[in-house]
Formats: sequence, structure tokens, C-alpha cells
Amino acid sequence: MHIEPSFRRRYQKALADQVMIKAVKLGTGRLRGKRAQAIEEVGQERWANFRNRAEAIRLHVIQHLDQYLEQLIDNVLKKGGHVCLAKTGEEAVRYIEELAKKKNAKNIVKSKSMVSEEIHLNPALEKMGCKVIESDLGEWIIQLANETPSHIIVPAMHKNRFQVADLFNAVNTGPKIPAETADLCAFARQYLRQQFMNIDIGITGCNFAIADSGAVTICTNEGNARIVSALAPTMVTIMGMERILPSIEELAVMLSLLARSATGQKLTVYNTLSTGVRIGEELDGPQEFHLVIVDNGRSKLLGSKYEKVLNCIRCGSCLNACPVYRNIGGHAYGWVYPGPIGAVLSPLYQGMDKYGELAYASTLCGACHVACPVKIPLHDMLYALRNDKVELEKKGELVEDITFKGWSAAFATMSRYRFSIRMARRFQFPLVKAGKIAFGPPPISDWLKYRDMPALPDKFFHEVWPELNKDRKE
Amino acid sequence: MTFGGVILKASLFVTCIADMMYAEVGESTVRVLRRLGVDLDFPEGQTCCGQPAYSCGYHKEAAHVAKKVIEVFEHSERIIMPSGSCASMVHHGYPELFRGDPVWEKKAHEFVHKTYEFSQFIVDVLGVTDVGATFNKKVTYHSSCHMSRLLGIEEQPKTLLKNVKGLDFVELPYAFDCCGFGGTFSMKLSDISGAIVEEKVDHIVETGAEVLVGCDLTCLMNIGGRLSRRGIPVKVMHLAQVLDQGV
Repeated sequence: MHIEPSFRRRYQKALADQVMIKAVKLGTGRLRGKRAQAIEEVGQERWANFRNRAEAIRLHVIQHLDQYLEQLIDNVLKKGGHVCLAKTGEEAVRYIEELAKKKNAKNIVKSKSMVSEEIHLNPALEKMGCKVIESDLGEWIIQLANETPSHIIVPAMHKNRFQVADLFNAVNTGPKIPAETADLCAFARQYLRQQFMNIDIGITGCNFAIADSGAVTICTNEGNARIVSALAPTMVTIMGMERILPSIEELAVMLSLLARSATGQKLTVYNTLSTGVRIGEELDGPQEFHLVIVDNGRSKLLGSKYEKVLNCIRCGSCLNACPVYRNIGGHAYGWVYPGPIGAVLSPLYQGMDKYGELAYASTLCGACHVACPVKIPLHDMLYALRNDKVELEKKGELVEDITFKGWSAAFATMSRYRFSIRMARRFQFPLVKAGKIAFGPPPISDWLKYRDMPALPDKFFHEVWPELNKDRKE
Repeated sequence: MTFGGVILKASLFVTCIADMMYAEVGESTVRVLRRLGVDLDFPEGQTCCGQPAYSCGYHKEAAHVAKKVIEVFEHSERIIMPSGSCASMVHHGYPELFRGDPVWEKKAHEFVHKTYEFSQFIVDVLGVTDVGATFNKKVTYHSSCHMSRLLGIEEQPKTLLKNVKGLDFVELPYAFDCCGFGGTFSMKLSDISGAIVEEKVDHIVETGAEVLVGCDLTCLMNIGGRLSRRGIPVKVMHLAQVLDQGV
């Protein structure tokens, strides 16, 4: 597989940014450690049971997605909400643009939503002249930096507190804020609270929509989604079409699994269930509620060998487990979702042509599928995507095509295999120095950039075997 | 040693990496198993398990080689591989490669059922946890990915190591983290691979161990290559070589 220069540039830039990598390693390390501790507390066996139940719930939902979608939509409508079922990201954006126009909205406050990143909602709304404010601390930091999230649950993981202080001080009119976490949080709290006061439209993401009640569940550690949903006269919730649970029963399993997998918490601090518009004598809640359900490539996976990827609950645990993610961060992956889940989702949602190479951005170590709370076989999917790339799309690389055809022909016959390794041994001498190879031509030059390689020895094992086997009685 | 009066027969699938680069690992594997009473043969015709092509997406090419391997070991009762990753290729890759094939699917499953990784065979099949070796060194152990996560072999090699006389075992921090090899990943995305192996080497240095032991030669070649490039005098050994010491 040919690695596109654009991807190469992205990850090389990331590798060179030691400040960023240090922040990512610190962040992923913390999350990984806390998750491990949480599992230890629960006990390995119970954790395994938890995962099995969660997997079964998600599989059931995905297999009956049409039914649950219908039920969800019915219940939202019954409770006075509006629903947009958007086939594409553009459709979803257009619906929200229309709404903003109708409401003559000036101030839009958002809580965290990866789907909104996926459909590029903010730039569209800003182009209309709306002021869009991200109220999740991490999202706000990257909004100030004019960047995209680098992690699914910790969008500003790649920044350290000094960088955050610089960003905050750029919008701060008061005395300079020191680069201390407590001071930075206090400033963010004070600044963001003001934004809530004159909110026209509130936009939230959705962790799980509950089919039998039409409620949307939003989990935050900052309480910002709760404020958005309580204060906004018009509330919009954006969700991926697969993020449904049948009832509140299943939510109990998923919430405790989500928090433990994501951050090692027993439960996220604020778990908000919102059933849309305020009814009768209720004191808060929006007057208008719109649920925007986004397909954007998801439905084509139903019934395919990649269907299980729709089980994903966006906990980010596979990112923290991935040695590649930990060493290049999220932006290098190129699309919204990074890490192993991104390496699988990006080509499936956005096309193999565009992101197929991400399937090769993995050592195939399998840490991702072990980390996944809903047991998505990410590891197997990376193999399958590579195979699709080569065999279905005929998008192998010419050199690699020839190499593996030749390899296959030679290694299927012992005599040819032995002949080829003998030839390699005979002609390696210009490269060998003191029993090892440190310099050489491509492609081994790539290996030799970081490591030495042992020279092929004087005797292969099959040449030693007759001597070893002398005394064996047949 | 015999097992209930029966001499266990087994075949060595030495793997191409051991055949080509590390004959001494193959030799130690043979000596250790024979000392334990295993009647070991080395079927002619064996080459490679097919993993390089399989993990690059070239399933047809991998299947072509895998069929040859299955034929070579057709009459073997048990197959022992001194490589966790190659054994997991057999266990996970072969059923996948031949899924739905009327002839080869069955053969692939038969092959899987009789194939063992080296330490797994000694501990789980032979029931041996002390092979009687002596090795007076401070040793740490890298738990390779496919062996631990796909085959579930975590404790067997460590049990064997801890029972070696004189051996001072020290746990490797983040032992389960990948070493960054990943087959052609180490060349295609060598800069990322280089960054990952650097972390592994740093952790090894932290332990103060004199020897790094593993059960996967490609991981060991990767880690050893980085140690060598940095001039760090930690010796890299396959488990079989350690179990072959001092007897």
C-alpha cells in the first residue's frame, strides 16, 4: 500500500512536535491508568460480563435499527419535538442553517458533539454571521486555537497548560491569567457563563437516545450540556443514527461502561436526560426542540462485514490503547475520528480512496479490540480493510504487488524458498559489518533508519538440522 | 521423561524468521523439547506461515503459501512453533483465509487444533514448569502482542523463566505495549515505528536487566536492533535459549 505524501507529512509534523507528543502521552497515560484501575475495582470477570452485555445490547440495537429509529422519532414528535433525518452531513447542516435563519439567531452555544465536527457545522453557522461558542472546556480551547479535536473525549489533549494560558489571555480583558490549571478553569467558567446569558439556540451532542421515551442522554463532566439544554429557548441535538438504546434499562449498563472506559470514572459527573420542550408548568427546558439524526455513511454499513463498528459508543479507549495514536496524536489521521476507530471509520464513511491508507497506520497489536467496551473487532477490521484495498479495489502498490506475487511463488516451494534465502546470504556481504547491517538500499533503509539488522548467518536452521538429528531414532 | 509411558511425538515448525536469521533459537528449541522427552521431527518442505502477505492485505498470496504449509504438516500429531505471532497467524489467520472453502476450511481447523506456541506446549501440554535450566542473570520479559492478546499466552513464559535457577526476574513496565514492529509497518511507517520502539527500549533500560527475553523473534529483532543502534549492552534472547542454559 502506498502511503500518500499528505498523510506522511501530517504524521511527520506530529512526530517533530515534541510538546504536542508529550501532552498526548501524558493524557493517554492518565486515562489508560485510570481505566485499568477502574477495571481492577470492578474485577476482571465482572468487567468481561459487562462488556458481553454491552456488546449484546449494541448488536441488538444495530440489528433492529429501523424499528428503534421509528420508535424514537415517534416519541420525540409525541413530546412536541421536531425531527430531521439527514441522509448526508450537508442535509443536516442545511436544516440547522434554516432554523438559525428562522429564529434570527445571533448567539449559538454548543456542548460537545463529534457529529457536528463530522458535518462541519460551526464554519457553516459562522458564515451566516452567527456567533458560535463551544461550552465544553476542551472544545472551547481548540475553538480559540482554530483547530479540530485531536481526541474523541479530550479534544484538546494535545495542548499543555501554557498553550492554553496563551489562548485564554488572547481573549481575556482582565489581568493576565497564570498558567495554573485552577486559574485557567476559573477563567473559562466565568467567560463561558456569560455566553449562556443571551443564548438563542443551544446545540448539544447525544451519547444515547432512548427509543421508548424519546429522551436524549448527554454526559459531561462540566455540566455545560445541562445549562445549554435548560437555558436555550431553542435546543438542537445532533446524533449519529446508530446512537440509540431501547430503554433506560440498557442505559444503566452503558453509562457505567462508558465512564469507566473513557476516564475510569464510575459515572460521568453530569448525566442529563432531556425529553425536549418544556411542558405545562415546567420551569425550564427549551420551548422548541429539534433532533437531527445524521446518517452520513452509517446506513451503508448495515448488513456489511463492518456492521459491528456501529456498536461504537465513542469512549476513546482504543485511542489511549493504541501505540500509533500515542506517538502521533489525533490530527495526523486527517479526519474527525482518530486512532484505531478512526482508521476504520474514516475509510468506511468517507471512502477508501480518501482514507484507505489509515488501515495501514497500525502495528496490528490488537490493543484496540481488547480496550473496546463493546467488543468491536477493530483489529480484524483493519486486516479486512487492507484486504479490500488490495483485492477489491486493486489499489495495492505496484512494487508490493510484485513483491508478494514473487514471495508467494517462492515461499510455496521449499527449494525456491531455500534458493532465494541462499542468494540473499551470498549477496549481502557489501552491507555486512561485524555481523550486522546498519546501512542499505530501500526498502531496508527504512528499517535501518532506526535499528540495526542482524546479517544472515553462515548456517540456516535447515542446514543445522541434519547434525541435530543424527542421534534421533526414526 | 515420558508422559504416562508414552513418548510424545511432535513436529517443529521453525518459522522462516528462525530458519533464516536465528538458527540457534531453532537449535535450543529442539534441545529443550527433546530433554523433556518429546520426539521431535522437522518435516521437510516447510517455509513460512504466510503472515507477511496476510497482514498486508494479500490474502490470495498468503493462502497459496498456507496451503503448502498445511500439506507439509498433514501427518504431524502436534506442531510446535517458537513464535507467538506465527502461531496466532495459524490460529486466527488460517480459518479466516479458508472460510467457506469446502476442502481447505476443514484442513485449516485441523491444523489449528494441533498447533502450539513453544511455551504453551511446555506448560499446558507437557505440564512442566521447571525445565531444570540455570541462568545467573537479571532478566526481563517483553510480552508480545499476538501471543498475549490473540493466543492468550501471558503467564506460561514467565512461569518458566521464574523457575530457572539463578535467574533474577524483573517485570518490564508496560510489558504488554507493542514494540512497534508490525511487519511491514516498521518499514512503511518507519518513523512512527521508530518512536514506538524507542519507548520500549527506554522501559527496558529502566529495569536494569542484563537480558531481554521474548517469544517472538521479529519483536526481538526490532527491539534488539534498536538496542544495538543505541549501543545499549542488553542482550536479547528467545525463551528457548534461556531454557537451554546450564543443563
